[in-house]
Amino acid sequence: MKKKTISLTFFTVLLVFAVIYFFRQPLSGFFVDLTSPVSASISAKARGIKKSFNFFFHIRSLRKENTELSTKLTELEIDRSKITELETENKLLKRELGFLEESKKGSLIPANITEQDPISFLDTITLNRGRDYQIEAGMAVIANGALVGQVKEVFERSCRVVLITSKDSIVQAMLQDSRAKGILKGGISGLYLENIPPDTEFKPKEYVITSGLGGRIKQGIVIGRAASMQTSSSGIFKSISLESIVNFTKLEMVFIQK
Amino acid sequence: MKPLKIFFLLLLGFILVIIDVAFLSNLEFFGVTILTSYIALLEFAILNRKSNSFLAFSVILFALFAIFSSLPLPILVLNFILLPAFLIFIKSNYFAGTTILSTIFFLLFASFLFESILVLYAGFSLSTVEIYLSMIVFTLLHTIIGFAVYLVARVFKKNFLSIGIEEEIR
Repeated sequence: MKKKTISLTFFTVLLVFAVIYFFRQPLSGFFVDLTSPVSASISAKARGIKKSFNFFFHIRSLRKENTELSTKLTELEIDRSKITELETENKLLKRELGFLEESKKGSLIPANITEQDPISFLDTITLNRGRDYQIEAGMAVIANGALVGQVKEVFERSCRVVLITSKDSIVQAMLQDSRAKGILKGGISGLYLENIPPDTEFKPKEYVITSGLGGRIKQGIVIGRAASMQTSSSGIFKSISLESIVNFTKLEMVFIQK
Repeated sequence: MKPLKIFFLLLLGFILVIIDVAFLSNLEFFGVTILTSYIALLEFAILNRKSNSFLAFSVILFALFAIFSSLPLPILVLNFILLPAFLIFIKSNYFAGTTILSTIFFLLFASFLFESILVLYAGFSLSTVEIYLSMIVFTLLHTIIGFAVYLVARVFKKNFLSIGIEEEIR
């Protein structure tokens, strides 16, 4: 009898393993789509609770942040007027030179975060947009105008996104001013732009943007600011640590770039 | 094992995993989120004398995390099946009775090992302070919550058992 129970248990466990091993993705798709509406409302409630707590605990820092943001806003207004001027000039010059204007922005699809990977270091989120919105793997995910991740898996009514902070994330990126190209990698130690040529001139606080090489992410999406440069263990290339301009713990709504 | 019990374990696991992925994953404490499903698994290990419901629950959690998380299967097997099986083996062989001290030690050890496996998988770096902080916070948080749940469950179990004994006497 005992022998029969052991063999039955062993067989059941083996069957579960086999089902998961061969049908993990379709099962994920089915269950994530199924729980998506419930998860979205639970997630919204959790964010509401978090916001209330944050407000009470960080009232002083919020005041400071408000002053800083007001100053930054004034600076950005000035920058924007300069950019508009440059854009007009750029368009004129392109027309003069006979360049065809290409749309870099693409269309943006708003999406809500319904689920997050409960394992802290994984940085994977689930969005409530899938094949029904023509979402495809590899598309860029943007929040506050900056790149936050890349679509990894697409289901019928939802998709899974790997955030750039994840150790599994690899994005082609470059320094905005020096134009030095590298590979953006996430991980437990933070964001790093790796494989930078050794002769790269590096300015602290320089913007790091997507280079548009390989994959489906278009060029020119802001990722973060360069913080400090380090020589890699091989000594051939350099790597730069990055400060993200997005607060990943406060992500709520994102946009998928088609 | 009765089909009703399997259904109950499946439902419990499903509800806890949904709470973990949709609710608690939004509330971080020093970069750490609470895994109620793992706490429940540890409670099964501590409170249940028979290991079959514990084994069934660990397989259910493995399947649910494979569906709702992006962790690779070997890590899931290690964290949700092999690690708890190893811990229950240690507990049943080296800790005869369930005392408060042994429970705290069991919870501490189990949470620390669970987080250590994840940290090693994510890429351990000696120089990153956040890693140590997350390991300490995860271990303490899960031990405290696990112990609180254990105390509540023990009170319930005692009351139900005493009612059962009284009914038997009558």
